[in-house]
Amino acid sequence: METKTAEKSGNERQQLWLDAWFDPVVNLHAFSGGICLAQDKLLVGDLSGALKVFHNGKVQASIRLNAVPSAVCSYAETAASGDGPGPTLVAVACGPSVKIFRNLKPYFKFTVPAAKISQAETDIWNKLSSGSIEVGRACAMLREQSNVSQRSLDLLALETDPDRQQRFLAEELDAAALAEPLPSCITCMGVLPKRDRKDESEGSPCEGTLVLGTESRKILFLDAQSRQVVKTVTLESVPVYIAISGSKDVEYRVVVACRDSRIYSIRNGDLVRNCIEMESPICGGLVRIGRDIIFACVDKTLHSYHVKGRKNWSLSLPEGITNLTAFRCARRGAEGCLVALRSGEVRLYVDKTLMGSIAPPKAGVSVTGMVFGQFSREQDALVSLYTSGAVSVKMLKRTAVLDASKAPEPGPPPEQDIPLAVPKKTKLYVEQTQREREQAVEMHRSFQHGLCKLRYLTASSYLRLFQTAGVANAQLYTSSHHHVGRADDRKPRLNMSVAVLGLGPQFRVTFDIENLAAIPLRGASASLSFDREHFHVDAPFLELPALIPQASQSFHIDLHALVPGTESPPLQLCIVKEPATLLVAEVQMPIVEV
Amino acid sequence: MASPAFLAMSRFRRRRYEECVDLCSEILAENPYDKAIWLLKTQALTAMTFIDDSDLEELGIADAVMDDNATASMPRPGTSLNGDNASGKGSSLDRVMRPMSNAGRPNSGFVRPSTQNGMRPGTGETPGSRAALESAMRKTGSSRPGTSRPVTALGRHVRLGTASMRAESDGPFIDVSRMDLQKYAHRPTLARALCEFLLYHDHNARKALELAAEATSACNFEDWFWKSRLGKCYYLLGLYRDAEQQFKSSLRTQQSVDTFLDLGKVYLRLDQPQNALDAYAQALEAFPGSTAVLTAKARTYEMMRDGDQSLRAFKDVLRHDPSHVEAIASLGAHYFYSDQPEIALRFYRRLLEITQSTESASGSARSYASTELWNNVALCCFHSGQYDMTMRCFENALASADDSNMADVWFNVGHVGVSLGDLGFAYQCFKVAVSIDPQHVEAYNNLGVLEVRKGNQEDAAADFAQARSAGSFAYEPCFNGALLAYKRGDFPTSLRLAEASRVLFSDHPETLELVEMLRAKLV
Repeated sequence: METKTAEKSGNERQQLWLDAWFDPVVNLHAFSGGICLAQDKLLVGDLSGALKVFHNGKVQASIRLNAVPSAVCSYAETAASGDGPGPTLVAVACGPSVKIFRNLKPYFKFTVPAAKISQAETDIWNKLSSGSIEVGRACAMLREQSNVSQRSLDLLALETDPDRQQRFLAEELDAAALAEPLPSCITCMGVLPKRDRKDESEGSPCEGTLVLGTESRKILFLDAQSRQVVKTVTLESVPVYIAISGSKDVEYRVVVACRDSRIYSIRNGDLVRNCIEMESPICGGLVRIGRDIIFACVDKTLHSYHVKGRKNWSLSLPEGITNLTAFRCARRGAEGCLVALRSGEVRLYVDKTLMGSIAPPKAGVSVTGMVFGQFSREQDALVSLYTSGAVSVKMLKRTAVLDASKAPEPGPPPEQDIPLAVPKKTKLYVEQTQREREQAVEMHRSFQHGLCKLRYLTASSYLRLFQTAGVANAQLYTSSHHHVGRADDRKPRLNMSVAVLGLGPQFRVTFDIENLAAIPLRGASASLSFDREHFHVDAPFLELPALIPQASQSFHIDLHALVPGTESPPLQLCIVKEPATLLVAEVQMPIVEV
Repeated sequence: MASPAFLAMSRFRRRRYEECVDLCSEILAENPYDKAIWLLKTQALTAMTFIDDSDLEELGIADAVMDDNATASMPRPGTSLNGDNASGKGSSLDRVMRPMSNAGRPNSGFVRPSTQNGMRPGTGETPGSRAALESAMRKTGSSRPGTSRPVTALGRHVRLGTASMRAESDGPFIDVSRMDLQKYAHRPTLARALCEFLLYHDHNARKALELAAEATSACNFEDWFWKSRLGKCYYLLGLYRDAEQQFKSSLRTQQSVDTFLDLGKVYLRLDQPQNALDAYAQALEAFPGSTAVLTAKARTYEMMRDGDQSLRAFKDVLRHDPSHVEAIASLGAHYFYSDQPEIALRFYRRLLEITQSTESASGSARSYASTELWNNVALCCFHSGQYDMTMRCFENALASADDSNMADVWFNVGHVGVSLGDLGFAYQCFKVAVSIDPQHVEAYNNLGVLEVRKGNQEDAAADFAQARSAGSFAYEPCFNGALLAYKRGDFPTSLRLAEASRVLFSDHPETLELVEMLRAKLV
């Protein structure tokens, strides 16, 4: 019943989206930052080191980049005259530089200025180049430095691969190269709009400037022509995700998630003092919705904070989150976020209400990157890339209801509020507890006395088992977890179960023997002792084959009952290995019926 | 000096049957044609060996395995006694709450023949197959030697008949094979006594059927007594459809509690519990407040695993008969398993009082069922916090226990050990339990769990395997074995055992989770 309703609503949710384009073999691999929608084109900075441009479901251009792109953005060039936006530019961050394309042709390249290297680090490199210290020692020393240059980072990153490290050193230890510091890599990139774009037509890229986050823990603001750095903000950790809101002319805020699980924000170029600190690392992305920041952590949680640092809510999801992207549907006034889970499912959350989900194209693939926005004529399109290299474009249905208040109640299912039919504590119980309270000492004493006696009785019964040897591998229970049995693994230990088959006068005693020891047991035999007045047995003695450890073997001995209709004394089945009897089982025979 | 005939009748009324029979024999030796004395002796002999057959007797192996009355192998829920194990969910007979008996049914509060063994072989076995036969045989052979099941239900009656015949020193009192039944059929009084004698003393259903058939035709098929006896004979011979017809016809002539109960029994044998319940409802209309019918109704609900209805019926029984042992015991069990041990304790104490008073009245040294009763009282005391009484009751239980129930008492003592956290004590108890009853599934299962805690995984696996081979009704050893195999990395074994556990208890959430996890890993 319950599962049925859940399925039904699941189906309803899936109908939020229409398939626009799906290509399973396009072989695109990129993260969310590397996907960009520019009017009717889809730009993907593929991890193979190429910028691929898709138009109408076909590759329009593929531009080699000679480096792995980390982020792709598109924006409009600020026109020199100042009236209206200029031509659209595409910025691709690869390594330490940003390559800017105009009309899909290389236009300009900006390289991050290299940071000054600290004296201590320079010393280490000098020593390394002169050969006075070896690589391993140098790495250890570099690791102790609080802030090292890109070159040192590269060296440390290659530590697990000594061959490549040696090759890297051979290149870098050149004195000329050493003198020139390496610029640090760009980790994330965003566009800061020049002015508020409320009145402008949707879809066309806005004028803006680039904001870069680098491996040297800096946020760089470039000028309109992307020629030089206007402003530099230094953070305490390396930025990984960046979200920008507002505009340069009025007021702006840049929110940055860093590798130290903190979220910093920069307001009008100044670092705001307070930051949001999470317990587990931030993953998947960072989304600005209105005045809220939404982000995910690796502990399968999704969080929303007010931009000033107050927590709104957090959700615990069933699986790890791989990607997060903003969902803004201006026509319906709905804002939220799309969350991709490790299973490949993509969920749409408006506020904290789950509105719908998209199943992965096939089992076992998950989303590597996704972007929501205007694509060609479709205003609300979702582009997602999968681990299998597939690309999928979905459109939001026009009839989709995205009102969070009309969605089914979030939170625990209504069944949870139905109380369990646990009977109430009766008056009798209360009276009895009253007695317990009043006569606690006497009761305890009496109980301990009884327990003591019963323990004694148990222990003596247990001891009797050893003496009669009726129980296989009887051993004292030690509550310590340390394994006592190992030492005497050479001693044969058997487990046997006996059953009697038949109605009489013919019976068959079958017994399964399992060797519990670690070594095979050879030369054992089974013998059946019985009352000759009652039974006749052709072969009461059975040579057993080698008993292999952990395998149960079955044997049988046939009996012929001589006296019908009476109870007979029990048989004894012994497993013997000279000189000791390993096991004795007593078998009670049923009354002969026929 | 009273007349010997009067004395004999007086003794019969005072239920001193043996003396009555002796006296009658003396009189008959003088005058073999004294019909009154012959009648009296027949009745006395019948009364001596009379058994209450209103309850369903246990099914013989052959009846169970070679059953051709079974209709649907997948009955609709609530229409069969062989429903899947999941039914009874939410009620007090829920599998999670109440342990299973050997027969794979929820433990009842009162042991009756049909609660001991399975109604029919397990659902997984097709009747008549070799596996079914073997499992039925195994049950007789190994589980409780000495108390084996008869091959057929009729077989047991034959055995009883020969036993009662042997008791007589100078040949059988009535040699039916040489009797002219037609002659007796025209003498209603004698014929009735003879019929009862054949049924309850000789257990000779075939001859009784002959006599009843003659008699019923002699009275133009109008006597309800003969029709109901015909039904009884057909029932004993396994001709359930004929029996049903006769009972119905008898009820049309004259309604009687016995006939209703017999009709219900026929329906239960045919696996039609709803019809049986209808019959009981009719009986209650005709005889409101009949405890026998109410009890039968409660039992039927219990067999159908409808705990709430069964409970209601038992409460009804108790309202009409405040010292009805079965009702008290069943209600006690119900309250114990629905987390109200303090109320269960009240019921069991009441039982203890009843049995002790009957004990002192009859003067017998040992009251019946006292081991189980002490054991139950001990458990109730322990769980309702009356610790000072617990151990004393267990001691009493152990002192009065015999081989058939001692293992269960030790098992329960072991449970108390587990609750106290004294695992060494518990371990010893379980070991003692399995030494007394090597087929004690639960004790083996718990031993396995304790071995896992100790870190002896091989021993634990062996214990679980032992528990599985000892009883095919419990899902716990399968699930525990599966979990252990999973932890040891043996996924195929784990999946096999988890599937077995799912067959036994299809709603067990942990099993389902494990199966799903393993499927995802393996498939």
